[in-house]
Amino acid sequence: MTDVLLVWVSDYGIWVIGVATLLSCFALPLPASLMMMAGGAFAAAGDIVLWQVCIAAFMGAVAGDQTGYWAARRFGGDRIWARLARRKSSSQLLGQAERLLDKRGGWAVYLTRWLFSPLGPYVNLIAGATKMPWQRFLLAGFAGEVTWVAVYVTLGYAFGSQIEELSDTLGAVIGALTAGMVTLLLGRALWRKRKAAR
Amino acid sequence: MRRKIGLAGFALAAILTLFFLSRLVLFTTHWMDPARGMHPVEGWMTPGYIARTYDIPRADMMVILGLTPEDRPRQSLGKIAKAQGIPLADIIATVNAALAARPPR
Repeated sequence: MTDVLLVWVSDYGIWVIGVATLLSCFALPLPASLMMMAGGAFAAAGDIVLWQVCIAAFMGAVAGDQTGYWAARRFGGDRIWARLARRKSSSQLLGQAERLLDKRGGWAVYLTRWLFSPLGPYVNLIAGATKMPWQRFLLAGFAGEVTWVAVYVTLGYAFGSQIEELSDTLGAVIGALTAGMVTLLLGRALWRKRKAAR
Repeated sequence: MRRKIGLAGFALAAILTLFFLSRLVLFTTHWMDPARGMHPVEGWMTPGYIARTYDIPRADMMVILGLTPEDRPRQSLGKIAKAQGIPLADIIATVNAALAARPPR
């Protein structure tokens, strides 16, 4: 599978990288990070121009974020959210999520671009559905995607001879961090509820 | 009921965390293994990529693959094999033989 993706990068160049980062914003399991690293590695080998790789990856990612945000905001995501928030069974959880986004939404968007990247697509939808101010979403998203692109393209450029190994290892790091953070958040919520129930 | 869902979510997230941590340990030990050697030559690699990875001059690489300097440099070994009408395995063998024949540094 990874070989097919890498053939695409060598045959079609930066377009594939842009499409990969775009699709990754819709939670499609396309390893955009591997393809960005491949772009960096091919740039180091003199096959692709480095800045073009960065621009293509960045544009794809930002376009994907904006699509998710506006899809949720314009096409009924806000209504679904409002309905769920009125329901007794989910109102508490949604209220907590909304307050958290209100207070730390910028950070949530920034960190889910690269460090907790598996959560990114869902944060886009929630940000749109809760009508997070667009400017804040845009700026935090920009900063996050710049970080994401810079980290992976640089790693590919520097460690180009081992991109597959590096991609596997980093995937495990990101997975462990994301799952670990979700574990902590859920654990904290359960703990508080237990204390409140007593 | 809701408490059960919460606990199940917590357990699932904890299991996933352990799963990724064990993968991380596996990959890291594999990576640290000095006997692992270089990544093998594969069909997706381009002449330029092979030149950089295995530290061989780019021009030599083009000659080994039967390409002229005017040929498009960014094409995968798979594509080169197809254009020359030979199996990919043969072209990989050619590259490996050329890499093995280099004098040790």
